[in-house]
Amino acid sequence: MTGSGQPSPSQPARGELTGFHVVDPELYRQHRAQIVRMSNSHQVDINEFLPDGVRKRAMTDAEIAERLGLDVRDVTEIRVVAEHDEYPIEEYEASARFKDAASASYREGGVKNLYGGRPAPTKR
Amino acid sequence: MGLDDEQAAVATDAIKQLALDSGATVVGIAAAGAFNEYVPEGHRPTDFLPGAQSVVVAGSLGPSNAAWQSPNRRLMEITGYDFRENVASLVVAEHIETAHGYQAIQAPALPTSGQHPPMSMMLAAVLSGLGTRSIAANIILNPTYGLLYYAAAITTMPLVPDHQLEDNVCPARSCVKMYEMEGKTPCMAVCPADEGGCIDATIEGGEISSSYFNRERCSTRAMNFGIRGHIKQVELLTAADDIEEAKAVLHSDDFRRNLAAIGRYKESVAQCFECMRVCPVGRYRRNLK
Repeated sequence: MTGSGQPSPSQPARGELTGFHVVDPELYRQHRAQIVRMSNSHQVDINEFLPDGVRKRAMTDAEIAERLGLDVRDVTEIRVVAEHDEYPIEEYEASARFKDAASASYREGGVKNLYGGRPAPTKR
Repeated sequence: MGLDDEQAAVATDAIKQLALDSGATVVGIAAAGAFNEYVPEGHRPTDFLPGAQSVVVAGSLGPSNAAWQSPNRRLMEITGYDFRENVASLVVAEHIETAHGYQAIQAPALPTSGQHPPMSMMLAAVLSGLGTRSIAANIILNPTYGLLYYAAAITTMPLVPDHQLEDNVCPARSCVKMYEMEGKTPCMAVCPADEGGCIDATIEGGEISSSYFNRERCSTRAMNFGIRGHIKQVELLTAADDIEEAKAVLHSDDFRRNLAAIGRYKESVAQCFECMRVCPVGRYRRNLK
């Protein structure tokens, strides 16, 4: 690295060779859960009508980076990958089944007949 | 030379009418400075247009009223979203620049990294008096129409801002009654966070006292097919042991649907309507011949 914090031409930072920024897997494992919690993935009490002191907001990548002492680019990358990693591919299939069941239950019996809960098993 | 109050009021009305004529169902105006209380630096109108004074917010309906009642829920997976509010916001921005000589841009609403949009159109809708945030996935409910989609134009032109709504649209009276009897509203019942869904909340004195929304699970439903699903399938492909296994993924219906949703962008958002389907706000409008 150069004195300015920029990678020198002879020592590119990880990922810079291809133009993509890649986070070290160990850094990802270490901070994944924490960063998901601090960002907007799970939104708690963000309604604008909630009173000051109760209303919350998520932290920005820059704020998280400052809090955790990380590079903001690493925080952004960890957050983006972690958002994706929250649910496996099976959840996408389950989601389709959920929508089948939920829409059918409402069509058949209205609000008093709602299907709620874990998605029905796959029909495959 | 700036506008006096009367000129600003006349220009504001004309710009709102233009937005409506350009496809918006509703239009409201927020003062650019109103965002500062709710969002940090980097997500405010002035971060994208220095000197911004006003944000013109356009909202439009997604599916037609009959689409909500289709026996095939997949109809709305591919027709649930259109771009009218975006068209309206662009027309407004161009009009402000050409007719009034002020700077104007379309507000940056699409995510630029992961799920984060640079600017929240939901907040813009709240601040411009078009709706309030609901228990149902924090979706903004307009008191007349319920769910709408929002886009905005940011401008250095001083316009007359609208007031935020004084009353929270959510929860509706019928939802409060259901909550008092069953401990849940219709949206919480159909998509409960503690049973594999996305939504939770408490209501006290007829008002929301706490709320929770699991955005990542919601995106597996509302963006069931699209970029995320495609990446998941590419993971499967790279891990496949043999060519037959890879082909099974590559040639599958789901693989095509993911690509279709990406290619025809409108299919990649708004693929789940279950919390909104049961929401009473604006539902009376779906009773047609």
